[in-house]
Amino acid sequence: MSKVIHMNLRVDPTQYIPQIRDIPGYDYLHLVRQPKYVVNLPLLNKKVHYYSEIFSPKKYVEKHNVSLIHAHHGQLGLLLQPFKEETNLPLVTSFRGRDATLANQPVGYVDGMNRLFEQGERFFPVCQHLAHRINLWGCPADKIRVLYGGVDLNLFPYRSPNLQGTQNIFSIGRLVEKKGHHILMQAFEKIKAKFPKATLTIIGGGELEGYIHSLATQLNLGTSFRLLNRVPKSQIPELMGQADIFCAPSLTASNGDIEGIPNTIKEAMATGIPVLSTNHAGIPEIITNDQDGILVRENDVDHLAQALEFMLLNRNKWENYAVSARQKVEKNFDQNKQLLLQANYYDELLGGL
Amino acid sequence: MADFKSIKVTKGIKTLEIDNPTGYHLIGMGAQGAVFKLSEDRCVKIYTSPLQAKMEREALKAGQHLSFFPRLYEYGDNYNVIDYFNAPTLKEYLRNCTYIPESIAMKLLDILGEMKKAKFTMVDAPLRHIFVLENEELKLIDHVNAFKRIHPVPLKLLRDLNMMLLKESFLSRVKKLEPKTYEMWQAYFNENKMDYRNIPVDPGGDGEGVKVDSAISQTLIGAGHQGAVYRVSENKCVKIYPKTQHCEQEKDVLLSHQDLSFIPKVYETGNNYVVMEYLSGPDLNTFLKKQSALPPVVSKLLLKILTSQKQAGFKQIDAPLRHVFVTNNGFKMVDHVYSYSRIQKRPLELFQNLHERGFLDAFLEQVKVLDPATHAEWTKKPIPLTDEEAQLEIINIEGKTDSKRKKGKDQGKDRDKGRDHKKGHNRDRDRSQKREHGGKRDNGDKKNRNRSKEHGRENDRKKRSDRIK
Repeated sequence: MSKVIHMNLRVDPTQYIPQIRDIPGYDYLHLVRQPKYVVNLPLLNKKVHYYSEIFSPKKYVEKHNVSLIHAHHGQLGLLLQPFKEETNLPLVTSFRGRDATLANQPVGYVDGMNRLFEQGERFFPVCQHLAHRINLWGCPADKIRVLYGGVDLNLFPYRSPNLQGTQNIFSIGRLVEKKGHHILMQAFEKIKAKFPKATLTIIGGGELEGYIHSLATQLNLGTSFRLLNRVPKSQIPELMGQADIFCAPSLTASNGDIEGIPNTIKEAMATGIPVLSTNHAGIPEIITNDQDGILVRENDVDHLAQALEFMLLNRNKWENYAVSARQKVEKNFDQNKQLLLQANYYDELLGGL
Repeated sequence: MADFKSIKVTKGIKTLEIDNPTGYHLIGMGAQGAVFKLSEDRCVKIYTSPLQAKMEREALKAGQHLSFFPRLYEYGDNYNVIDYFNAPTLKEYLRNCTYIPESIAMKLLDILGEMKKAKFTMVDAPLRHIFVLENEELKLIDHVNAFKRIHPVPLKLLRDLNMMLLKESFLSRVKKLEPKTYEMWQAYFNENKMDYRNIPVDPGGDGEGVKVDSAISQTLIGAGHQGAVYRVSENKCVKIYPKTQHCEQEKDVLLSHQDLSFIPKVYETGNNYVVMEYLSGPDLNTFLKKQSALPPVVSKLLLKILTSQKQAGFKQIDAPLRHVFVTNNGFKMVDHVYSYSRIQKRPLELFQNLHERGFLDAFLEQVKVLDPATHAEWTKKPIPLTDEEAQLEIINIEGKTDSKRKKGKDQGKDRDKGRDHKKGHNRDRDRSQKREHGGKRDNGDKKNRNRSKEHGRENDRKKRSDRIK
């Protein structure tokens, strides 16, 4: 069985672990930059290694009989270039959201990327939108393979939309600008009077926590709003079950940061919750407006408020949205299929060497 | 504004003493002197020793033709007025970089080349002494040791880059841009490979300890009070002790308990060194910093270590968080010098460490469930949470130990420093980015150490990282 060195940011359940550890036909070594990036003990096993601790790359690769390196972020691809040069291993680099932007990027990022595009063998952007972006940056099209991240459909079994009359709107995602929670809160405030039973739940933690709390006070959202932070990933499916409508109001942050396709959208769509999102980054690749859910302009409170109202007033459309959405996820975002596709991309690369 | 010459900088007990009757802002302070901002483009460095003022002045004069040197405007017996750079240091500039931009690599090589041409013996610079101006022009400060120290290879630069995981990227550029320089550096490292079997021991009892050439500092994991640890291969490291007594004490513990799962494997020992298993993984303090709650498995594994210590006859029962490593082979613990020579019945340092992390109550709760008897034993007296209180409970066994327990001067902690630039004394360096302009001394080779000794720089010597105490 071929072995792949995977480098991601942290040994952490939120960091696409299946794409490292569950690739059919491929064994793995899970590399992080330094020991301090281990944040989860159950995930620590003998295959977890540290880049900073590798004494001799050549001997390391020989000892572990490695065939391929996969960096799971653009910046990690850059980091692993000298390792690749020394070991002559092929290098695959995934691109997620911010990787293909200049948001908070260090000095020389684009120049570095251009060298990586030259030297790296393959690039796996997580959506067409990012593929287009890196292509514009100079990545040769023949090195690009779009690899959508998948969801574990067993964890998110389909259930019909809730037509009982509750109006619980959920949004899940880190509290950072690009997730657009503040836009959703303002839109919610606009419809609140018309739908007194409606509630808004935001699940996530992050740098904007204080701001979100003060915005809720300022908008006078009262008990119709709640923010749940520090929710373990394992509790997400259960919480998702309480949602009547899922909203992902993603937008381009003021520093240029963008999404790929938020996993939470895929999870909500798999579960059968009608989704409402924005025409942002890779999101239109998973949601076709008025077919799998509703799309609105990003960063537009009024448009989002109208869509929320439309969704709440048109329950008869929910079932159709949900069924179509589930089919879309099963087709393009099923974790098992995507892991197999990842393996096929590896095969293609290794077979061609 | 009063004349800057009225500012007095003298040596204090631990730090410099500054009497500044002027309104000039102190912008940096190091061992050699202090720097005050005179204007938007000038500053003055005032030295405690005229000799050092002269040394730096000579270097500055010798480098005035070099574009990356600060201009020298004025000088006196104990001061030099030079350019002030209101710019980020290279360390700040490269923050979050995962590769060295080609332009920076080229400029660094140019600087090193020019220094060599100018016959400087110190062809080296730590990242914090390099400023990056708006047009990415580099400026290099602190030249006191330009003709004193001998660094034919930029050891400090490479070590700093290594801390940021940028060394390999830089070397890869050097290999392409200046293959001969690259070969010269490689040859230097090959000639200066660590020979731990032949490191002289300095028996001096003042803490001066073993001297290790800075040429091998690239493999230094950390230096502390009882020894320094160097990586010697993929899975081995060597701890070198300045005092053979410490070596004997630790060897005794390690070799007697190779069967205990938390004791690192020992491969070879000498009078003043122990070659042992290299422990790969975060120390427990680092790990717990990222946790919002204490994972029960951590309490269980810590309790297991402490119980094993007791059963195995250890006199000192403790497991400071920074000494416990979370490896993929379970928890391992380092630093056993005092395991037989100090009587300590409760893990006092662990308690303090957990308290600092906010996990002491959770730990005790979990221990209460796992092992009620131990919990009762530990909690029958109040748990001391300060060093002073804790010391009262620790008894040194006569003849077995030679010094009082000193917190924070041990292998574990310092080992950490080597790994993460944001910790330990390196963190102090981070904090003093602005100080660098003040010519914070850069601790290095033997020659300088001897001079430091003459000058009675005890405080400074303690900061040296490429030396074993």
